[in-house]
Amino acid sequence: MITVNNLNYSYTDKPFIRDMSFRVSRGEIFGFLGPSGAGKSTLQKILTGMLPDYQGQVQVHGVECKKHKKDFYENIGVDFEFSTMYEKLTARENLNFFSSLYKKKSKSIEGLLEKMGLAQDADKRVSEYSKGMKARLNFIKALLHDPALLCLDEPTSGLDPTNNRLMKDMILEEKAKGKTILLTTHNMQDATELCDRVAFIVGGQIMALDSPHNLIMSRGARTVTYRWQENGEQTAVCALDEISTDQRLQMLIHDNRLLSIHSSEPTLNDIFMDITGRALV
Amino acid sequence: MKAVQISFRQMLVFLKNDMMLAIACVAPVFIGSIFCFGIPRLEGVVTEYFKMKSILKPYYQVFDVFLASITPVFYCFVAAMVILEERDDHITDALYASPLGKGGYLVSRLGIPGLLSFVITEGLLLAFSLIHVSFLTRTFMAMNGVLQGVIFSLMVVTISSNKLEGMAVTKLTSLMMLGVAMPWFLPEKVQYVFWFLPSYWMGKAVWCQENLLVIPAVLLAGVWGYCLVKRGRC
Repeated sequence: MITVNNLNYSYTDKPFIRDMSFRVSRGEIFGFLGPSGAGKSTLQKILTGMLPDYQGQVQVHGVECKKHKKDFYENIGVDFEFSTMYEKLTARENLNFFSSLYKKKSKSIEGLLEKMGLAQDADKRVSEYSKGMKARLNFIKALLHDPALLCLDEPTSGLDPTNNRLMKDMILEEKAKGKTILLTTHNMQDATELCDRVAFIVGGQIMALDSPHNLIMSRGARTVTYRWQENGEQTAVCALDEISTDQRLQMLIHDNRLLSIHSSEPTLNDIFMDITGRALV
Repeated sequence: MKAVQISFRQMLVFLKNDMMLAIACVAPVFIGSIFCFGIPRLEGVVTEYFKMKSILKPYYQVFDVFLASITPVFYCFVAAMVILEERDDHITDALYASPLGKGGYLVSRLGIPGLLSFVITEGLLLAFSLIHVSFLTRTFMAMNGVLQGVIFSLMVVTISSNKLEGMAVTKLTSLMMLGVAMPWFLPEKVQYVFWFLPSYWMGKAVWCQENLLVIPAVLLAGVWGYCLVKRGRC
């Protein structure tokens, strides 16, 4: 579906994206994670054919991105980080306009508005929409022509928990239909939940690339934290695979003196910090 | 092509919602009527008052060339404002990443308005011209006006980073049109200071009644256009 080999790109004389290589398979959700200015959006622009002056090989649907024809976009849906709607037009007018640019028959606008909870506000001007409503409308716009590849840039940004859940379910629904999804995000929780694989991007380079599960498991051991009362409240931590050899824990269990016990595993954010030496959230 | 047409229609919808830009579209008709009906009357009044044979009449050509320049500039100003607002709202990114593409977008925002303004300029010159000019000269005047209009909008779009700045840059950029009047008001040796303005050569072509002088105007417009597109953020 997507092949990137030795990709280099620069806005100035200084290299910005350096020697990136990866592949994304059909039906996969692939996440780009990294701090602002890391090169995530630039990478997305290259993959969507908007920055043709790159070096290396970047193929989407077997087409070299710098040499794409106009029908290239018939199968790509881009959800930008910012609202890309005409503020003076209603949501329905915007969606009608954008869907008419494609040769493919549009999905039902009514259906999508209904699904994303915007049916009631379809005839409101976009300028009257909240940030979250604009994010949902942007997402609908990317889905309209039923593209095989979806490029989503911070799709859940500005959404309340209910709509965040709704959006994530829609993304998973698209994946279930066999769509390939590129997800650019700061949100480690979303990435862990949605992505089959993630690439940590820092300073224009991929620092790690694997499934969130493998990244978490390979770098951090799961631990058990327990508390008990002894001259005030005490806390101790032991590795999950050493639990049977922790004498104090055995004794506390035997004496029924534990106040609480819980297991925990590192988050993707911990792994990101571990690998890149910097925090993301 | 379908996407280009739809995008152009969208621009018309956009104008319907923006009174300032809608008015700018009909302004050349008012200017043409004022030139056509107002200037000869004014000439009558001032010649009678100053007891002179003619005062404004030797400059009638300037009014015609000015009308040929200002008409496309108005339409290209409208196009530039639409581009800037679309850029402010990040809509251009969405349009570039669609079957319309960057090329199609520029055709729908600069190419089609330019072509339409050419037809309108021809029509306005035919209706409101103060002196008789041949069809060929009129066509050259309209063509040059369009090229100047496209340069004007490219300049506004390239220099400004938002619509507000665009309004300010418009005022400055419209000074480029003044080149048309130089052959009438400056001595020949001095007027060549303005050689880099396509508008100067258009004025010169009409003043000398030499259509071949359109060639430097077109070539210069090409150079301006190339440089602006290369540097451009549109």
